[in-house]
Amino acid sequence: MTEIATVPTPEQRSRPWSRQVLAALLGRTGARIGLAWIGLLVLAATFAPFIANSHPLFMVIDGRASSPALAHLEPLDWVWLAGFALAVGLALAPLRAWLKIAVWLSGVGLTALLAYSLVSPPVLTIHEQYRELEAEGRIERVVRAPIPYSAKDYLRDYGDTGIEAPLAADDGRRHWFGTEENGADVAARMIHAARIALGIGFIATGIALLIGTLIGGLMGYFSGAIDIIGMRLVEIFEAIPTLFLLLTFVAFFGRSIYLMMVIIGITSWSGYARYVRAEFLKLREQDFVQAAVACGLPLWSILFRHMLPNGLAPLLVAASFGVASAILAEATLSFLGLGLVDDPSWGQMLNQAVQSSTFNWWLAVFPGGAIFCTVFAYNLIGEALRDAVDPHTQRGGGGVR
Amino acid sequence: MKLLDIEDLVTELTTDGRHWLRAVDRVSLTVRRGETYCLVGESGSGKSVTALSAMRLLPEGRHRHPGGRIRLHGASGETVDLLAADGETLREVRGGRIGMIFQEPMTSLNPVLTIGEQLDEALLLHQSNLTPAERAERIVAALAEVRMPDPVGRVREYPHRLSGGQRQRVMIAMALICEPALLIADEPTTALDVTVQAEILKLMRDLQAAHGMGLLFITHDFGVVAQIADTVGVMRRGALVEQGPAGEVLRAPRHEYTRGLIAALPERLARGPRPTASCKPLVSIDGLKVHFPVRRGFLRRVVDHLRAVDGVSLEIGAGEVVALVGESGCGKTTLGRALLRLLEPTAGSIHLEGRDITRLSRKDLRGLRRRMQVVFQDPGSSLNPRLPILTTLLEPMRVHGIGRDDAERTRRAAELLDRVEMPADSLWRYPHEFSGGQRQRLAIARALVLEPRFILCDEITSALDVSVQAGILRLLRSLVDDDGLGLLFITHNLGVVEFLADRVAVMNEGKLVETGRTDEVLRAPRETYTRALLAAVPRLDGALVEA
Repeated sequence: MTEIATVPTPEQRSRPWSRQVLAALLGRTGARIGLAWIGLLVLAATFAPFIANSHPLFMVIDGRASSPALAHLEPLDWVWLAGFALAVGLALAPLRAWLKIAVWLSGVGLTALLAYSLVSPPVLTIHEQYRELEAEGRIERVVRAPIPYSAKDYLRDYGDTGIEAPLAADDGRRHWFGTEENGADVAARMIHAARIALGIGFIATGIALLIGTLIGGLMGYFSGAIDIIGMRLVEIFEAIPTLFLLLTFVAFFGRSIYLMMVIIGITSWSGYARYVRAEFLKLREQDFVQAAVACGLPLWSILFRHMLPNGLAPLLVAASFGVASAILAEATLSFLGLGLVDDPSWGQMLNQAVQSSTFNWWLAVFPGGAIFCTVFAYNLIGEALRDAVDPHTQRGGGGVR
Repeated sequence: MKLLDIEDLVTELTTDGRHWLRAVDRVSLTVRRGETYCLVGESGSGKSVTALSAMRLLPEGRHRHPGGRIRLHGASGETVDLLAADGETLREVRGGRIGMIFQEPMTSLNPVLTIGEQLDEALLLHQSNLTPAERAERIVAALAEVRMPDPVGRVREYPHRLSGGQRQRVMIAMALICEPALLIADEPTTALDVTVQAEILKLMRDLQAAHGMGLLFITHDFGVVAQIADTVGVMRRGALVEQGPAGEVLRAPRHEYTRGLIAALPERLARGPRPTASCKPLVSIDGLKVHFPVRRGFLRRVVDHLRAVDGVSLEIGAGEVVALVGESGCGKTTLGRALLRLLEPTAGSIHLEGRDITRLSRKDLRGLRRRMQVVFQDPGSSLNPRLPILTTLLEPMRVHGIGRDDAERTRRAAELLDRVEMPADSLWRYPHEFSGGQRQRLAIARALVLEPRFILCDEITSALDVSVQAGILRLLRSLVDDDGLGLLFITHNLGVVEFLADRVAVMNEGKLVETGRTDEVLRAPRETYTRALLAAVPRLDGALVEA
C-alpha cells in the first residue's frame, strides 16, 4: 500500500457546525419569515434606484436612446450594487468564511473608493423634465420604474401638491402610499429609506461587535488586572446615555448618518464584551483550550480559532437583537426631528404624520409598519438562532414539527 | 418474599417523536425483601432506564412501554402495577414505598433549601399525621442513622456546606426517612473517592440489614458488585444477558459478555514483559509548590494560601510510566498542570531533559511545548467541537514546522490515526461524531502529533467503560514500550495503576506520601495513608476470597 492510499478523500467530510446551525435555523418558521422580510429589504435597498425613480430606466428622444436612471446613479448606489453582487458571488464560492468576509469588505471598500472618485452624476437633477418632455410628446419610447417618482422628487410641476392621502390625486398621478408634506411619494421614500434602516443596523452592530469581542475576549482570557480595568471601562460606557450623546453630537457636528452609526456602535459594545468575557472565562478552563496552550499554539489562534467559535452562539443572538435596537435608535432620533435633513428615513416620516393639524394615517401606518416588521424580523431571527445554536431547546422545540 | 417484580419490560425512548430506540428489551428480574440486586453493565446498556421505568420517572411523551409489567408487592400481599398506576398512586409510591438515590451528590440536593427542610418535605407528604415536633425528631434520627456528624446542627445547614460524601449521606437519609420497602440506588458511589465509597457502601449494607428492605443497586464497577450484591444481573444493549447469585456470576460467568467484562478489568489484564526503563530522567521536579492565594474582604486582600501542591519532588524517566495516585482534591491535577507550565508554580524547579523550564518565558517555552504533551480527563471537552479532526491535528504541526506542506502533514496525521487504531476517514469528521473512547484516542493522537518525549495523562480513562479503558491502556503501554516515551499517569483507580505503571507516587494534601515500584507499593505499603487507600478499593478478587 502506498502512503497516499492511506489518506482518504475529502468526500467523506461531515457537515461543519455552521452548516448544521444554518440548517436548523432555516427549518424554523419564525426564522424563515424574518429572513424573508430582511431579504426583501435588502433587495429594495439595493435596487432602490430601479424600483422608485423619476428618471426613466430607458428612453428614446429624437432617435437617441439613453438611460437617465443609470446616468444619475450616485456613488452610494454603485457601492450598494457592487456589495450585493459580491455577496451573491461569494455565497456561491467555495471559500473559507473569514476569507469571504475579508474579500467582501475589501471589495466594497474598493468600490466605494472608485465610485466616489470616478462617478459624478449631474449636480442639478431636474426630476420633472421627463414628464414635461413627455407632455410635449418628444419622447418616442420610454420604460419607467415601477414607482415613477424619486425619493426627493417634490412634484414641482404639479403645482401646489402638499400632503395627499393614498390614491387621492385626480390629475393622473398615482401614489400608492400617498405623499408627504413636501409632495414626495411615500412609497419611493420608504424604499430608499430601507438603506438607512439596514445600514445603521449592520454597521452600528458591526462596530459594537468588533470592539466588544476584542475587549471581552482579552478580559476573559487574561482576567486579573486586564479584566478589572476592562470591566470598569464597560461600566463607564454603560453609564453613557446613547440617545443623549447622539443629540449632543447632532447639535455640535451636524446631522450625519455615519456619525450616528459610529456613536450607536461605540456606546453599545459593552453588552457584547460582557457576553464574550463570560464565555471566555468558561472556555479558558476547557480541556481543548488547555491542550491548545500545551501544543504551543500562538495566542491569536487560541483566542480566535479555538475559543471564539465556541463562544459565538450567545453573541450572534445578542447581535440580532442589537440590530433591531440600533434601527429603533435611529427612528427615535429621526422622529424627534434630529435625523437626516433631506434623505428619507422611516422615523422622519413618522414625525410628519403628526406635524400638520390633521393626523395623516398613511404617514404613520406604512413607515411605522415597516419599522415594526423589521425589528420584529430581527427578533424572530434572534429567537430562532438561540434555539438553533442551543442543543437543549433544539430538542425540546424545533425538533418536532 | 417478592418485593419488586419486573416482567418482560420493554422501554422505548425517542427524541423526535418519530424514531423509537429500544433502551430496555424484555428484562425480567425480581428483587426480594432484604436482598441486594446489582444491575451491572457498561454505559448505555439500559440499567438506569430500567430503574427509571420502575419509578415512572422517564420524561412524559418521550418514552413508551410496548410490553411488560412492573409490580410492587406490599407487606400485606397487595400489589401495585406501576406501569398502569395513576399520578396519585405514583406520588404515594415514590418516596413512600420506593426510595431513590442518584449518582451526582452535588446536584441532587436543592441548593436553596436547608437539609432539614428537604427532609421535612418528604415526611410532610408521606407521613402527614406526624406533628412538627415528631417530624423534627425523625429528621435528626435519620441523619444520625446515616452517621452524619452533629445531626442536630446539620439540620439547619445548606447543601453547599457539606462534602460529597456527606451529601450522599443526606440523600440516603432522605430516601430512607419514610422507611421505604425498596431502595433504588443509581451509581450512588461513582462520584465519590474510594475511601468515602467504602464508608457509604458499608453504611448501605448496615441500613439494609437493619430495615430489611430490598435494594436495587446500579453500578458499572465489578469491585462494588463483589462487595455488596446478593444477586447480579448483567445488562448489555438493553437486555439482561445473565443473572444469578453474585458468587456464581462473578466466579464462573456463563455468558461470554460477562467473561469479557471481567477480563477487561485493569487488574486482570495480562502484563507483557517490559524493557527496563533508562535511568536518565526525562522530567524531574524538585520541591515544587503551587499555592493559590485566598482573598477575602472588600479590597480582596490575601489572607491565606491554599497549598494545592506543597513541596513535591519526582522524576520520570524515558520509557517509564509513573502513576500519580490520590483522592480528589489532593492536588494531583494541579501538579500536572504546573509541570506543563499551564499553571505558574510558586516555588521549586522543573527540568525537562536537563533544561530548567521553571522560569522560561511564554515565548521560549512555546518551542519546547512539542517535547511534552497532555491528554485530559473529559472526552467531552478534550477536542475543539468546532474544528474537524484534521485541523486539530494539522495546526500544531504547522506551528512547529513539522512536515514540508499540508499534504505531508495530512499523511502524517493519517499514520498517527492508524497508530491509535482509528479509521483514517476520522480526519474529516467532527468530535461529536465519536464515542468517548474514540475521542480519547484522538486526543492521544493530537498529543503524539508533535513527537513529544513526555506525555501527561490526567485521568484519561476515568470516564470510560472498562472494555474501552482496557484498549486505551494497552495502547499507552505500547507507546511507552515501543517509542520510549515518559508518561505521568494521574489516576485514582488502583487497578489501572497495577496494569500500567512502573512506579507509583501516592499523593495526599499536596504532598507525596509514598513513592516506589508499583508492586512494592501495592503489595507492601509503608505508609498508613497508602494502606487505608488500598484497603478502601473494592476489588473483585479480594471480596471473592473473603466470601
